[in-house]
Amino acid sequence: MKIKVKVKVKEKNKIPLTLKYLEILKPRDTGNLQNDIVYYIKCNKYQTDFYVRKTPDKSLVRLL
Amino acid sequence: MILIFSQNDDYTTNEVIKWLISFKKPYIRVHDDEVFDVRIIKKRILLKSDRNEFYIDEIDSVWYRRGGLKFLRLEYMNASINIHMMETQHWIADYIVKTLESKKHVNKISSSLVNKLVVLEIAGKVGLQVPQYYLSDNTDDVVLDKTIIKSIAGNAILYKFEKEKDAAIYTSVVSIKEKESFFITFFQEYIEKDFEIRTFYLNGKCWSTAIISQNDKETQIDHRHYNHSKPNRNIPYNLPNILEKKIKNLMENLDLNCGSIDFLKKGEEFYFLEINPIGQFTGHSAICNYNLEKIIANYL
Repeated sequence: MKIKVKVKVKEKNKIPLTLKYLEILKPRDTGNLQNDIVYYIKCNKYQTDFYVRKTPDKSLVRLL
Repeated sequence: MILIFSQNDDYTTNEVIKWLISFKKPYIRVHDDEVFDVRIIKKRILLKSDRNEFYIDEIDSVWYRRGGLKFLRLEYMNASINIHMMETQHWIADYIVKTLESKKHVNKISSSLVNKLVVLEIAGKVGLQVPQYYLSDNTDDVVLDKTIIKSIAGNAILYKFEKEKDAAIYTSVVSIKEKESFFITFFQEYIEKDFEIRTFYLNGKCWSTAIISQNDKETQIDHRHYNHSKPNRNIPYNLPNILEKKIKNLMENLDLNCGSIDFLKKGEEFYFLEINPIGQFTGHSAICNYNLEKIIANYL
């Protein structure tokens, strides 16, 4: 979700015009997250502490 | 042994590792926060961190996904000895990086960050069509609603810009003239595309995806304004051979052997936008059945 705003940045030095067209991103909705659910697990096999426990959404493969 | 430079939470790396395991290829994964101590054991160079320990002569191929190689730097009390030792440690680190980069690799630490302005210049030189662009600190010459602005910096997200909220710098169409001058900004001709193309490149081969983003007002200017309720349609796409040769020429000029390249298609023209050497590709790989993770693992 994006919130379109004309951001007024107070800086001593000039900033690029791109920063005047900034878009604030809405924080992720963490309302449904529960502390007792672990979304990431440590995984030695893939040498990461952030192995996604939830099955990621996968798009249907289009056969063209 | 395959050496992978990545981040602890990088999903793409996990997907490539799954294939490495399937191919029975041993690998070492280095996280971006690891710091290595350099040791010499029986004339062999050993790199040791909290997580990993390996001799550089054991490494056969290297995948630079993200992050980097950080070394422990010793400091000395005597200022002149400190300057001398900083340089000595620099050259040892430089030798290790260059030795690793001389092995079979997918991208390199030294060439992974590209300058968008240099890329556009070289793209023009190799014959790719580039929308007209210029740098300016005012909007005097801007044709309103027909000019876009983009960040010169690589990272388009400003983390925790406002309390806990992040902000994003998307490509925007300039719709009003500014009264005052501003910091140097990148302006480019706005092309009303038919659709976008993202090409994954590896060692001279291209796998392209057409992103049908023009029909949705949210994604018209920048397809990263993802419309999650009605996502853009993505389909496999074949670029003309002559264009793929130009891409190869461009990548060789930039000393890159892997990356994602963005184009706009309008009529018969393909407009080159930019290269992202460390971009995400798993989404297009899955949608288009390209199996890019397997291709990378197979090459390493």
